[in-house]
Amino acid sequence: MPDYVIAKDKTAEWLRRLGEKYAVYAPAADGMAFARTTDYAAALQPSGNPRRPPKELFFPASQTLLTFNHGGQGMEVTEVAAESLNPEPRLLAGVRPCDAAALSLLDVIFSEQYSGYDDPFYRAARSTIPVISLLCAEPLEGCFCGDAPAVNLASPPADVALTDLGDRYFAEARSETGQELIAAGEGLFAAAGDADREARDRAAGELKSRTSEGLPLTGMREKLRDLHESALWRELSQKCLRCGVCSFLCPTCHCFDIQDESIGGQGCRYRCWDTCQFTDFTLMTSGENPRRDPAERLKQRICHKLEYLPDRTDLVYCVGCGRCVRLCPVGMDVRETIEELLGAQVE
Amino acid sequence: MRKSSNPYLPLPARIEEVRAETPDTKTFKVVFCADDGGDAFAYRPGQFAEASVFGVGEAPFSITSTPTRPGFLEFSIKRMGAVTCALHEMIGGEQIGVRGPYGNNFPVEEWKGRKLLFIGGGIGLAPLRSAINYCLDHRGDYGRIDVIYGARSPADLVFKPELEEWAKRDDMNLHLTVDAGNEEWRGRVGFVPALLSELGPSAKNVVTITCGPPIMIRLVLQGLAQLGFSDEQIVTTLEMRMKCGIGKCGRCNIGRSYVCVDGPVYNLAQLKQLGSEH
Repeated sequence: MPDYVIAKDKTAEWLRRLGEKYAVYAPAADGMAFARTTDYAAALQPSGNPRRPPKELFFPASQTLLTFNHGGQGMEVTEVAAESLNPEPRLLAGVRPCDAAALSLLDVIFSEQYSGYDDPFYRAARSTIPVISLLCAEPLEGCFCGDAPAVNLASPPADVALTDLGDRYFAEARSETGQELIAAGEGLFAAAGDADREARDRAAGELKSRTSEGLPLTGMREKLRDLHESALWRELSQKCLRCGVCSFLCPTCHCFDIQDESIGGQGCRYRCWDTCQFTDFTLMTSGENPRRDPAERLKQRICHKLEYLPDRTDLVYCVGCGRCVRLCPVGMDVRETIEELLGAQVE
Repeated sequence: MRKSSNPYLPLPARIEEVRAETPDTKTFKVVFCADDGGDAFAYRPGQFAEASVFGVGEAPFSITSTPTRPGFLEFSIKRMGAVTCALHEMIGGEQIGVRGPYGNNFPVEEWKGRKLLFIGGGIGLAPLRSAINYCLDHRGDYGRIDVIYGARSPADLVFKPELEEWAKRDDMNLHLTVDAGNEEWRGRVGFVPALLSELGPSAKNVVTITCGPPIMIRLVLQGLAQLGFSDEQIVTTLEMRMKCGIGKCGRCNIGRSYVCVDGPVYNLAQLKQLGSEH
């Protein structure tokens, strides 16, 4: 697909036109989340990344799966149509390459191919919300996307991938939807030349070198497999408060709970985010708990991303966004955890 | 496998019959409300389903009936948590939700021509019962069938009428025991692993399938190893906390294996490969 450039002062007009068709979601000014905006001039921020990743647009923190009603005629169960959860067309702009990669990793989990069952709620949102990504001008403290094999900084998996080239953005349409988004900006875009492509690659290459710490995320599988019995897990987990922030804010964490809520015979069944860092995540009613110990739970979080899911999918489920590093209340740093594990003696 | 636009949507099912098995366990016979409900739910022995009481929640239960006796499903359920307590309050005619069937199954095809040794403890007989009755209904396909079953007391033995029938059959051998007897109990008293050692079955051309409380499993596995059973000959079915049942929600894994889609049936060799959590 052809590549384009757009002058920076024209992106507000482009997004304004897109705003006629879509509710535009972009990083909110308070830095907390992606939120609806009509301030199109401020939608594309050169740096920073909201605390909450954009996964919540596709996999909300809480989502109704069905409703029920104990009527006079017995139980009436009503399916929630996945499409009904996305009533107005939405567009997500300003997504960082790490988070765009995380969405493509979630696509795998929620696909039929992965476990034999398709998740219609996730798919309905994913297939209707276009994503415009933007390469960061500056990495944040704790960013290590350069080490994450799923992250492609030059050409992330978005519908339109933008790269800051100083006075203009490089714009790559990576899907048919992306082509349509660019077509909506008729008169604003120009065809990109080889020099633009080189500048894009240079920007991506520079960011990659600034966010690479040499963590061998791909090669952790074999090492971790040998460390399942290691005493190191206990040591590493001692600092942890088990608040779950690392997983709730992680763009690839996707574990959820299913619960019923009912008042006077009417109610709903919903799913909500859950975390392997909570004791009751695996607690059975018999009292048995295979991951009773915080050391087991740290092992689950690290191995799930770097060993178990790579074993199942050949993909590494950490994109190096650095949220768990920046936002952990006791300063646990996953990069240090990985380093410690790499240096551990196999028992 | 059931394909619906919403895999979280259960099929409505009516409780046809409730049988009290023990002071804390009941068997629920359920029939799908829709005419074609049974067709959409083709299961194999060893699979499980998510049963729900609307307003209380869902929980996974092994299917204790056998597909060779179609038209209904049976779940034997011990009163433990919120969902099981709510189920225990329900009576015939009331409606629950059922989705599934989920997970892999006992490899009953691979077992053809081999002798079968089932070893169950307490409510652990529930998943085994599906395979036992399946094999009895295809009796010619299998060699000698032995069932070792024990519970804490005579009152805690599940499926009592069926145990009596099995005891009468001359094409299978039922070995019952209880941890502690009472005045009426004429049978054996002692633990399941002790009975296994006493019987001392040969491992030759045998598959053994075991399910029960963790302490029983641990001692049974020791006993089987002493009798010369290889890890590949020992099959078990696992219990884990589950929610989605379809490999998405991320809690039931043992290492890279999701018990809800890759299990719940594993042989011991597979479990040893997966890691130490069990």
